Amino acid sequence: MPDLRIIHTADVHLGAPFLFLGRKGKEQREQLKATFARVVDLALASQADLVIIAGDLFDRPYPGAELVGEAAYQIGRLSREGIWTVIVPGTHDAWRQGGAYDHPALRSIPNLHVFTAEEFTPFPVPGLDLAVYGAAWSGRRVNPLQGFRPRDGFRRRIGVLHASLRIPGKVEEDGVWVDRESIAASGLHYMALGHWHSLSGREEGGVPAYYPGPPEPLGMETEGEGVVLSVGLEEDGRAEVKPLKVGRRRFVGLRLDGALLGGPEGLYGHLRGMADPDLALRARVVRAWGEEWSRFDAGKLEEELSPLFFHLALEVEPGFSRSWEVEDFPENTVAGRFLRLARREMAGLEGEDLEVAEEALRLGLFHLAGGGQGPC
Amino acid sequence: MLIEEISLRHFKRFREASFALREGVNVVRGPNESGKSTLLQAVLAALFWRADSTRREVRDSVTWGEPGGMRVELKGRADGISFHLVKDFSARRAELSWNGRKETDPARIQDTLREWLGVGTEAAFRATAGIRHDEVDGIAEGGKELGERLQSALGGLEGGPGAFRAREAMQKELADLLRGTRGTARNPGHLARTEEEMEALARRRDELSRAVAGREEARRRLAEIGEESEKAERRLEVLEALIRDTQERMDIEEDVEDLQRRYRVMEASLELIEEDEELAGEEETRYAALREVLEEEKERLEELEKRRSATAERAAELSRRLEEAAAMQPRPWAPWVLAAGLTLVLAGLAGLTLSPYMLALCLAGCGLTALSLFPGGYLRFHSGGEKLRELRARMQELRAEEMEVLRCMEGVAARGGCASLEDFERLRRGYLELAARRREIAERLEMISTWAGERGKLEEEARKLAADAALRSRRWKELKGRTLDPEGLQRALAEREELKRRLDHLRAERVRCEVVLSGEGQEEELLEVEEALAQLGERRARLVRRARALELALDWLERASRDSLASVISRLEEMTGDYLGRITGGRYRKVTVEGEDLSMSVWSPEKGGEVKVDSLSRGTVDQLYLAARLSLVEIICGEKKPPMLLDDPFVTFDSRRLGKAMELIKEYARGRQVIIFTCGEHYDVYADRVVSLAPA
Repeated sequence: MPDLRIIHTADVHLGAPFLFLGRKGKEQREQLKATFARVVDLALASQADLVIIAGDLFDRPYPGAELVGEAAYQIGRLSREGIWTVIVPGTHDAWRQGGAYDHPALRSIPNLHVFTAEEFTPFPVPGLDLAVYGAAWSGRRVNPLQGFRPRDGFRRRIGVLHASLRIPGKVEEDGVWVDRESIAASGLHYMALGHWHSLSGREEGGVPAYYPGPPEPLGMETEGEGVVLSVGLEEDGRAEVKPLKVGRRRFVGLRLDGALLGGPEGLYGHLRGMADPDLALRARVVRAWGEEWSRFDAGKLEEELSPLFFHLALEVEPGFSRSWEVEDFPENTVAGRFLRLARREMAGLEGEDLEVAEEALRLGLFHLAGGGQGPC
Repeated sequence: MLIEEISLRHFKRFREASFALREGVNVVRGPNESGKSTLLQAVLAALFWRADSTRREVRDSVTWGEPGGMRVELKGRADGISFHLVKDFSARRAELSWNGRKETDPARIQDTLREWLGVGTEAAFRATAGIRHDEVDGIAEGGKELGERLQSALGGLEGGPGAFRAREAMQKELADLLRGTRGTARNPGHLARTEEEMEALARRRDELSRAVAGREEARRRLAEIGEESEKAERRLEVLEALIRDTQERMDIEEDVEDLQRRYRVMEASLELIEEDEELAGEEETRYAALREVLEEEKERLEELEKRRSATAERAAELSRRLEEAAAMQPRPWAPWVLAAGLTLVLAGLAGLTLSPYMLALCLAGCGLTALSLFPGGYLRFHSGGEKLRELRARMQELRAEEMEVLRCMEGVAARGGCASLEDFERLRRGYLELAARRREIAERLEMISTWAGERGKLEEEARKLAADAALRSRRWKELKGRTLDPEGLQRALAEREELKRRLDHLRAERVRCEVVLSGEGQEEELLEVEEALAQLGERRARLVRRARALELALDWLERASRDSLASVISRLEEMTGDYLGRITGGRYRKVTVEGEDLSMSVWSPEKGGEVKVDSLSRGTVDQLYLAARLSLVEIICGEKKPPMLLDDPFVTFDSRRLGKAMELIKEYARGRQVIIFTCGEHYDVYADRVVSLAPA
């Protein structure tokens, strides 16, 4: 049983737009709220001592009042149970006068501390013998841990930052940043990070530093999302970090090999097998070449299978023209000449022009073959 | 290419089967469900399906109940060389052996087969070297159908409508797609509808963006207003206190002055009251008898006073007249001077006797005598003396009367306890002065104090005033250190007014901000609109891309079609005429193909001109079509000579039409292979080999 139990979340992005989800965006926004409520439920159920929100609780500095009201309600539930919540404003919800964190609904919550200063300042959490150090996100390129040495009488110290982790050669400074060396030298017992939308982290010189990623997925590009981190701090300062699943939806991006699927029927079967009303799937079919794919209508299949998913986007990677050898069609047939002409003209194309030409080829062959309800 | 034997294993209904074929016309005959179509498909599978294909068609071709093992084997000749092809679809392996060579790569095997056949896909093969059972149906009805069928074959894709129809279909799709995008349309196409929807949403998004930006600004401004208002109110509070204290101090200063003045009045009043009380005591002690006499003898005293004053007046008058009279009387020294003069005169005269010089004495006496007589000399002195005596007598009377009055008055004075009238007068004067003083005091008290006669109340009021004044003084001292001078007060008042105006302005602005913030849900609506717009944007991009693709495909197809026709038509006319001439005994040897729709006419020597297809007999039309169709196969496939697969194409023909058609097929099959799949025996007579399939 740890001496101190902390729930660490970040990048909730309440009120975020989901342009790629179209009209399902609203549903996912509602889910963000529901998932945040689950985070609070989890904190209450696990009798956490502290909840840390490491930035971007909201998707914008001035969210709608109802959204602030919802967040305030949930944090208020923690407060009523005597659980402290500490928040650092992030890139999306940076502290602004009249903004989210300046709203009376949040300001009036007793057991809530929002770091509004850009300096890495301590907040002694009452009754926990714990100092939480945090800094509000600023547009300045700064490493708040640079030269940081805690000088306080507290038994335990935690840092909270909405910052990038600089990895030389891979990730450079981006606004507020930290690096492994400064984390290792910080003397903190746990470094709660936010900003990166994937679960990641490790111990840096004995200091565990973690990004929990968003508790509910925000996009296809993220990995390991949908969790919060349960951090147990032992009396000797050791921290045990465990991810706990709270997100409902899964956002998955897939590359499917058309050559292995054996045609549209195979693709249908594969996608049908993945059907899940909580799965947002973006499937990109590569090597959808050959005669069996000539009449494939990705739009139609997407429309047909969409009700089985939370969201389904189906794309076919260009390359259809490679399905055909010009010799497949005798030169004296219209199809043969069409194919040869198309191949010649496509030779110098790339990007969207190539995609248009691919579709033109597909359409031409489709109509020459007698057409039907949809394109090839 | 010539297929000499085809062997099947676990291919649909054939668990194990082998069929031998040969050059010329091969007839595969069997009733329904005997496996004709399966055998046809097996030929196509052997030629075109890749052994490693995962397509559903391959999976579905495995004999029902068998776990796999589907295999097709082909033996034959290509370009005069024997080959042996094995495709094991279950094992996904293939092997092609020919001329001492062996190939196992499925892709390379297909390349080789394509080389031998001149066609690389099943669709292209079916379109060119395959004649479906419905293809020649209705050919005899007219030229249009014939042209269309040929276009389809020339198209190169099985079942396709040909380039002309394909272009029509694409043009229609393009027109449908773009309808309404270049002008108004009653029923706009997808793209126009999407763009309209996007425009409407974009307008809404702009409205909402402005509203949301306004709300953000309002929220920010509201916070600023709150802060500024708080500061202003704090400053106003300070100013109000300062002004209030200053005004209180000033009021106290004024009040204290007033209080002091009032206190002084009170003090004066009290002094007056005290004086009055003293005077009242004095009046009682000293003037009580006099007051009584004066009250009782008031009328008599007044009369006596009147008489006394009248007497005094008359006495004064008499005195004046006496003075006048005295003034009128010759100088009193006149008698004495006269006497002296006369004495001197007499003495002089007497002396003259003694001395002449005594004359001077006599003259001096004369001078003195003259001086006494001139002016007002002694005579006037003498007459004036009479009047004086009269006046003096009257004066004496008056004195007597006065004495009378005085005696009366002395009687009154004696009643008043005065020893003399002077005492009485003195006493009365004192009394009157006292009374006058008391009246004066009463009047003054009445003027300056409400409680003129109430000493107790006055004293109490004075105490209160004193206490109030002390209190105010203490307060004044308190305020003195934190108040403003008049100039400072003016500045503070001006600042207060300015602050009040600013606060009013901020209040009004706060209300405006609150009104802006009152509409909830705009942020969410904006997100929904943006998401819908993104979705529509994607749809629009897809539609635009599709329109561009259709335009491009149309362009390519038109050019491909033109080039194809240009290269085919003259050879088609020549070859079709050649075939037709051979089977019609030279009756029709010249064929003309026109335009893109491939409509045909034949030269009739009997009529001496072109004859449209519509004018020909059904049998001749069938022959013309087949001649053109088979010519197309030759033109398209060149020297490759792929096996020709006919799926019972003449099933609806009567024997005469069938005979004519088969004449042509026989002619075509020279040096080639034609495989006819049929249910009946009517082709048997034309067959070089008949493969009979048993019923299922």
